[in-house]
Amino acid sequence: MLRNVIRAAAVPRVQTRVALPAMARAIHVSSRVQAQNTNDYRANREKFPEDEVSTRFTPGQGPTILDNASQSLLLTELVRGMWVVLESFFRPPYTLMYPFEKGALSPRFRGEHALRRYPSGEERCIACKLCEAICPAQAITIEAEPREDGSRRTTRYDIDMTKCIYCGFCQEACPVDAIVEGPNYEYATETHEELLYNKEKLLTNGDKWEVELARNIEADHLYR
Amino acid sequence: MVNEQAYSLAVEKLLNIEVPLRAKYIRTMFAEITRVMNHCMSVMSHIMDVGALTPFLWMFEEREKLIEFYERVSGARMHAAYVRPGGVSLDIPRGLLEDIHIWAQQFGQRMDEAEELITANRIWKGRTVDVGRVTAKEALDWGFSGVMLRGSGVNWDLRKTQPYDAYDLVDFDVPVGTKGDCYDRYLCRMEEMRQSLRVHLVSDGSNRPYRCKIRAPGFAHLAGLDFMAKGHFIPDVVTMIGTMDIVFGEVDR
Repeated sequence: MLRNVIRAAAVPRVQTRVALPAMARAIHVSSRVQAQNTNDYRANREKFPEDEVSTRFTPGQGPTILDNASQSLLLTELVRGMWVVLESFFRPPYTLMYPFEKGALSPRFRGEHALRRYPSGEERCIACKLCEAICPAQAITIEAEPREDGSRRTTRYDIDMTKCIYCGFCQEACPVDAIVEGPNYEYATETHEELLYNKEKLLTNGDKWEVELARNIEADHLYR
Repeated sequence: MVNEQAYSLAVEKLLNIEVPLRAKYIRTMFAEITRVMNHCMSVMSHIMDVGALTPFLWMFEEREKLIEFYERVSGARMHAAYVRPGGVSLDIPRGLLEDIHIWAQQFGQRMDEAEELITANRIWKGRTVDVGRVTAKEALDWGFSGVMLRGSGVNWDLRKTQPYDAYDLVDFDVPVGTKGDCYDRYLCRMEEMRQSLRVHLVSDGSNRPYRCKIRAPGFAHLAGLDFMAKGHFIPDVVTMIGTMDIVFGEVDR
């Protein structure tokens, strides 16, 4: 075994990696004798009397006493583990420095809601109330009446952002791409009231994020 | 995503809907990604509870990549709302499959690193081997499911016994433990991650039978803590709760 340990340390890195899980399992299987000494619980002895028989030493099977002794004395598995930790110490970190660096978002990301307008400045929403109907959290409230020019528009469009579960069903239901969930996820507030969005706030969001919203819809148009 | 899948499967069964093959494969693949995500979280936080923080942080890096795949396909990092009765809501965006392939190729190596640190480690073994043993009969009597059952040697996996979606079309093995202690369950979960990888590399990829149940298993598992913990030390309770992979919010409901 001593020779095996030295050999294992000497072979190239790739091979040891492949060999290790198998080796670990072999050690686990063979460790029952040890395990009984370390965790000799009363419960186990009462419940599993067959262990007494199954852990009895059988010559020629599994590692020998010398193997076990050399492994525990030379701390092989601990040293190997520490080596892996040391390796990863010299790798570049995966961390993002959040407020200054941000992760990439896909065009499908479902963040803060917005109501969009047509390029002419006319609001898209036609008060069909499909989003209100499908919303599983019942976060959307709409009231509508005909405008002076005869077109149907909302007089009230509220979203309770504290009820919303961001499932994206409203933007799926919308026939005119008026209500959308945009790429913004930084809109934390200090009070609950600030998260009860009204039509004005949603339209402002739409104006603010229109470039990104249009780009995302464009990028995803093949799948819609 | 697999919660949705379980629900969708029930709806499809009731309405006799046949799901397109592509959607089946997409679902299977993402269910398997979800399994890897779950095991990254459950096994590594189990290890963290027992006292080692390093592998937890390593695997969270991998988990973050998987969450990013989630976000690219569905638009949300956790609550995907992607699987629908009859299929999935949108097709996979272009380039995602290549990225998942690249991820799958390197993930085995990352798991080797974590395993090198833990599997043979004497402290980890001292804390888990022979702790919280469950016999196959006890596991069945107490209504355990998933790894809690397979760790005790019961070869029961819904993916094999009642294959859904594309599971009858892909090739994988179900790891089964022998002794039913915490260490066996740990080995099972690690091996399951490797098998997920295999499913995915051959074709595409499962759902934890865990999540497929309408009855969430957390409560049943926690109920078993009493008999599992008999005769053990108090620190071993931490090990056992970790191995059950329960979330207390779920137990409560």
